[in-house]
Amino acid sequence: MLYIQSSMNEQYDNAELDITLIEQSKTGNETAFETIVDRYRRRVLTYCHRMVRHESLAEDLAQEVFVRFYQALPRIDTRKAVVSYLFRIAHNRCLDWLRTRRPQMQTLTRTEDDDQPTVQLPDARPTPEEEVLRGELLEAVEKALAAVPPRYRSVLVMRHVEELSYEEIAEALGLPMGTVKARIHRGREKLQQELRDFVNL
Amino acid sequence: MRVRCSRFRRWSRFAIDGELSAKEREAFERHRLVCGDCRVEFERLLRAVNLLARLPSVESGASFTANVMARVNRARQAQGEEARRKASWVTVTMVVAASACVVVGWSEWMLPAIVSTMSDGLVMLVKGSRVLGPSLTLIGALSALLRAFFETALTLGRSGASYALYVYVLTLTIILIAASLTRNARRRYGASMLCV
Repeated sequence: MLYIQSSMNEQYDNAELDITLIEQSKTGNETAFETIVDRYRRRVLTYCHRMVRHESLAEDLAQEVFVRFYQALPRIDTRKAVVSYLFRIAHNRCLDWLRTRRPQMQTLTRTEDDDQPTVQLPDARPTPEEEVLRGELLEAVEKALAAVPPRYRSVLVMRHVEELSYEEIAEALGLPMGTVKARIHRGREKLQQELRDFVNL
Repeated sequence: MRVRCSRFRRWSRFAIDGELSAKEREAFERHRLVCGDCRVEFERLLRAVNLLARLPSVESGASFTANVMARVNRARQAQGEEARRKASWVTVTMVVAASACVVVGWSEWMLPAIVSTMSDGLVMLVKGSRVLGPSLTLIGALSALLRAFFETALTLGRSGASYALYVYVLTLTIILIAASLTRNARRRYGASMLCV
């Protein structure tokens, strides 16, 4: 209970800080905007990377997200969460890219090498062998995620990698909450199918 | 409460999100213990979600923020140039419109002749649109409207017609400016961006 309380306080403080930073950025304070970039760059970059699965491209898209966010500053409503705005722009940019460039992308297909045995993730400090297995497993999860259609992949990453709330996802995508929940559930099922070799007991 | 397999599977999504009531959760867990198929299926789903949650974050390069700020400044400069272009276009439109108003005001005595000439031209346009097909029907409709407007203006007498034409030119100018601003806004922010 204490943890929940302190976590809520932290969220509240973060929201307050975001509002202050946005208001200062709106008046042309570049340092305030740089602080926003620093606070959210890892999350935006991770989202873009999980969507397009290409390092330099993801970095380029993430930078563009912040540029667009800067241009949209005059219309930003500080009552809404900053992450919702950022992920909305990131979502649109990534989907645009996937729509226009998809045929040129390397198709991600499963190969014989992907058929790894089920691996237990270590709880304690991993041995080098475990590290290798862990790396291979994460690689397999990345491939499986990339094979999930973008509309489901997007909500899966927002929910389970970036840990956005349903409200924030609904706000980011401009969708009703029910649709978001259904989409996440469908995405989980698709991911489970893609990871069948790893999750089957 | 007795839970069947179909309900268990429907509830599994709510169970993962912790959205079952205490009573539902209890029934869910009971079914999970007794039904092997449902238990295995649910554990597979849980494993998949847990694996996804273990994906690490991606760290950006050291120059990420600096690059963003450089791009922001470039975009701001481009925006400034576009605003200047737009401002010059608006100025030219306003000057032309104002000049037209002055000319019309000073040459009031010429108005009947001007209107007569324009009306003839517009009638030709209407006829032309009939020949050229439906793509020019809009021009035809506009021409008809203009002709009706001028005829009405003529019945008001010289000063009335001059005033009406003056109002018309001003209205047209406002519409042109509004259209220009809307077009620029759409081009800059894109329709898909909605509020951002």
